[in-house]
Amino acid sequence: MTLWLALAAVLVTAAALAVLWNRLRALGRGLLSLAAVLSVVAAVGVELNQLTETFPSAAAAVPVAAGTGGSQMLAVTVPGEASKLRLPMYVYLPAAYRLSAERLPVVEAFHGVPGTPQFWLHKLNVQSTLDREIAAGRMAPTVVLFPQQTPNPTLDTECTNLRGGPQTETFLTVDVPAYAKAHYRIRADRAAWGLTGYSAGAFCAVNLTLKHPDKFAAGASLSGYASAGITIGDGSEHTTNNPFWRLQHLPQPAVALWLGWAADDKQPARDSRLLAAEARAPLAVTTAVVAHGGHSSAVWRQMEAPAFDWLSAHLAGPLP
Amino acid sequence: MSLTGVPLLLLAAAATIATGAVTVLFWSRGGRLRPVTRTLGILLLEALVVLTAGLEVNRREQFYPSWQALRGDTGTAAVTGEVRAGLLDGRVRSGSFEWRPPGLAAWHLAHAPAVSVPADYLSRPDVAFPVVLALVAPGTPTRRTPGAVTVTLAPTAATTATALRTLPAELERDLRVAATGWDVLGNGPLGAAFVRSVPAGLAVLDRPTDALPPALKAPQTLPSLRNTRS
Repeated sequence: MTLWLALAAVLVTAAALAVLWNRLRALGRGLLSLAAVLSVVAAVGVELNQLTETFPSAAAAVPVAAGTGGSQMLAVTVPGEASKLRLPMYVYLPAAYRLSAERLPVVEAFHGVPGTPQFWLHKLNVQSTLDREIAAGRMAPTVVLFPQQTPNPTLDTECTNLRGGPQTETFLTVDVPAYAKAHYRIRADRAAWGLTGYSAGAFCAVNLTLKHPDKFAAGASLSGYASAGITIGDGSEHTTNNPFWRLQHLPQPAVALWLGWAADDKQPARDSRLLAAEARAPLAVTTAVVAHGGHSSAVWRQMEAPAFDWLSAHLAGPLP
Repeated sequence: MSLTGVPLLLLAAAATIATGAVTVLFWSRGGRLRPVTRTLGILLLEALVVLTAGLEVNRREQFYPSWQALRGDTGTAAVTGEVRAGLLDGRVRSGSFEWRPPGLAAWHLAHAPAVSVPADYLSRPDVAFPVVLALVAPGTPTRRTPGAVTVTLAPTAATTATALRTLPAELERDLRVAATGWDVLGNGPLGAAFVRSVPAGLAVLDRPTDALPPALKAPQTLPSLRNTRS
């Protein structure tokens, strides 16, 4: 709807420019030209926002969505006591959550930048994917959390604690697990907790799995990077917040990583190969390659089910 | 013409400049149709500016490196395999049985391992089960683990981790078991050495049995790095 309004504005300003040009003086012509340019910029911005879901509209913020398989997608707000961040999060509860008394394993799923958790819901159709994989028995019933990773959609934190900025790593590794354990019937042990993400979120999944092996047993990266690509403020983007550096210089933890990429997505392909080549026991790495598709939602839709299936096979199952 | 190549970018830029020039040139012409031709010229110019900028951004960031990628064609399909039946599946009964694989002699065990399968092993023929490998003293009663295939093994002083490296493949051939996440029970150095000697991720030492992965059907998979290289 918003895009159609923006396109209508482009059409109207162009027509106005054409019709009124000869009747206007220089100032009027300039203002109308500016309006035409702004309408084009607005239309492009609206389309880009629809592609990345950076600023989701109120209508897109689904508070509760019921899946056809009996699952639920809840919208909650996580008050982060440790990080002092208060951010929204979507919570996927599989049908088995209502039908059994088992404590379920958990996956935190991170979005890209720019972006929001809505990208998982709308562009990657994650709820129907999870419903299908669980119903098919390829994945155990799992609670999946989709936290927002930054208080400002234009601020790229790469899920780190920025010096003088948002403490996102603390939010995602302390506050989100604490909130989930307090509100949902889930397993609390690290063997049942995994991470995943696409693009920048994939970097987050790998970095946080390697940094917090006491909290997470496995991580799945969909087109991820080996370094943060931002300035954290303490130089740690070159060391402790750099998975490639960690693998080269620190003892490798007993966790499992799934690294997926498209062969024509140059940087993630190169970085994922580097990470896979550096892996040593007890770190276990599985790779997955899509022939082409670049850095796009089509690739992540392709990787989504294999990544979740793999995660489930590497996490502890539901606990009676 | 490549989506991220210079020729396409130059073509788009040239088309933008040409459209701009033609629009200006014909701005005062067109008679009664002048509002229409002007509007079309402006809209085409705007579209070409956006297209050129988009091509340049895509060329730099490589979001869509090819026309295939732009169409959403990944050229790859996730494959859903099937859990292969174990050679012993036809003979397995609930409860435990003595397991005598071909490589047994090389393991130098006190006696043949005892294997117990979960109660639902036979009723779920399309599922691979997690594994508990219990290293025990000779004569110890057979272990059972709910939901898991349990192999009770009595090593001797001659048993080595190197020799036991063939055990996972033997078990995966004979029974439907998971290829990762095995739980190796037994505090002795042999258990630790076995975990270190097998591929990373296959086995974990002395993990609580309630932390075992679930019994699952074959996952959806994509080609791996090894396949890509070949």
